[in-house]
Amino acid sequence: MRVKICTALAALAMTAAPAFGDAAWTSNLGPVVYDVDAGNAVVLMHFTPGSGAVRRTFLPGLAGNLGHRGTYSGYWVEGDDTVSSTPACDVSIIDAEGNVTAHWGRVEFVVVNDGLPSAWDAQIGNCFETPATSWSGRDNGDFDYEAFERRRNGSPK
Amino acid sequence: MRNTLCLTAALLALGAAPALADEAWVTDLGPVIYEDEIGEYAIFLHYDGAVAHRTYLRGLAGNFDNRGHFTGYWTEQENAGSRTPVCDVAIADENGNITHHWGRVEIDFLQPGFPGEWNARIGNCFEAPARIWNGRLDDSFDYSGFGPHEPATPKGH
Repeated sequence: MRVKICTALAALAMTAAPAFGDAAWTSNLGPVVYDVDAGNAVVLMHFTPGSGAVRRTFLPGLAGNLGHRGTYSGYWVEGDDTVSSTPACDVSIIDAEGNVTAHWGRVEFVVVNDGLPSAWDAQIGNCFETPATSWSGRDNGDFDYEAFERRRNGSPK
Repeated sequence: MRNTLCLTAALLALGAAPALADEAWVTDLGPVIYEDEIGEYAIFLHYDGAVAHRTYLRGLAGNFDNRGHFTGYWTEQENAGSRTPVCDVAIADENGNITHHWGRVEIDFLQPGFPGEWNARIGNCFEAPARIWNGRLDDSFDYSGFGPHEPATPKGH
């Protein structure tokens, strides 16, 4: 079941102990939030700088490990029904939630330090290409979840 | 419309000009045939035991005189007894079949014309293709004996 941002809001309102749903980062591609766990994958979400499309990053093996240093391989996806920031790949993939899309790429993700929310350094690429574009996330304790959720609901389709 | 081995057999019997599936190779993974074309993709077929292993090569379809380097991917059907690793992410092949058993392929033809031999590299899932897979022409190819069979040796890739 998808854990929405509102879950994080509720947790924050209850001054719950830090949990994945509370995690948000400032990155060179804009603000990033932890979205949900999908099986053994952590799913992060942000809006792409160009089109503003919702991009979700799936990191298999990271669920339950986000507070631990390590290196993980994953992939990002944008919906075929969105104004994607990238060209369609030759091959469509099916993400861990069963969504089919031709807009995707690979991700190499390094959790920099132990503890939540950890900083991370990633490399991303389009389609099968080797990830080579830097994408780094640093803790954003003042993250405006409400503004993010409003933007998410109004993101371009 | 899918062209099958039956079509090939018919064409061969009629002494027709070279066409789809008239090309077959001996490889270290067993006999391989040029099975079909979908859009710009040529499809090679071989069997790992009873499991059909298809290789999709973009740009090769209809190219019988200017062959060089091509990239693509291979698939084995989901829940069919594949001995290849289960990838974290599934892909949809050109037929729309979804599978977690796939990998990338790089292929170089040794001659520009038909029929031609090739040297390929294959990998599992997102990994860079590195395992050697070479196809050599086989004038005495036995189409009648081509098909699913008992597994021979442990899967190496």
